[in-house]
Amino acid sequence: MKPQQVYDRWKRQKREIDVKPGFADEAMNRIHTWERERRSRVLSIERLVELVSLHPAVKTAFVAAGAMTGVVRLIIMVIVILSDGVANG
Amino acid sequence: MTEENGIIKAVLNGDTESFRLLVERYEKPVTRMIGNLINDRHICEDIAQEVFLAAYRKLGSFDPARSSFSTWLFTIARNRSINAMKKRRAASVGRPPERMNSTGPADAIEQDELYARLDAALNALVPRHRRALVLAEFEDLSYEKIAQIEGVRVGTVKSRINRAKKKLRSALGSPDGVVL
Repeated sequence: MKPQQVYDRWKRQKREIDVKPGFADEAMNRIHTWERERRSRVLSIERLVELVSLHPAVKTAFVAAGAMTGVVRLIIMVIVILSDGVANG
Repeated sequence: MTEENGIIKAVLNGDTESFRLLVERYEKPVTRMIGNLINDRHICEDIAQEVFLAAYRKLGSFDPARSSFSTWLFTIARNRSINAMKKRRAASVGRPPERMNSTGPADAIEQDELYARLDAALNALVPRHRRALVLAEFEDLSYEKIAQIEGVRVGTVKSRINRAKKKLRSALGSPDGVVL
């Protein structure tokens, strides 16, 4: 038997696969279960993390808000330190 | 694919059951791809189930402008397969070779032996070479799609497939000139 023939037959055999009947039903059951659980935890941390990670705009907004908070905190600290310095000296 | 994008829109608008159309369309290719990558028939359907759940969960992040749904789904399947392979070392026993169009027992034995050699060579491939070969040869994906799934350049995909084929050729004891 020629190598090319063997290879083609082997490839054909590798392409043949039986998915068990009811595969789609099982997949949909898992999805419906997950949906039910998701709806029951609308206000949970996991839901928030999921929302943030799924939407790039929300993710960007969160990062920007975090950065802004850091900058504002830094400015307040500088103001406090400077005003203390002025008051004491 | 416009029809698929319509289904995806419907799912995102709350019609969960429409996702079944996508599962039915891709259950076979996804399971086959995972099966050929991890070489374990017992867990490949389980992983395929996880792939569809993950796809449903992340559907909001799918961007039709960046890739087709099938490429996106295969990327999830690829990542899940890599994770599964990290968790366990695949046993090197493939499906028993099927006897097709054998003209006699001697032919069948020879064919079985050659299939076993090819299976062993496939299992021994470096994972990235194996993935490229499986996607190109068993799933008939274009080099461009494979490059998208693997996150590499088309040239890299071609080189990986060539290297994989070279290994398979030598498993068959075939000279470099043979097409494969």
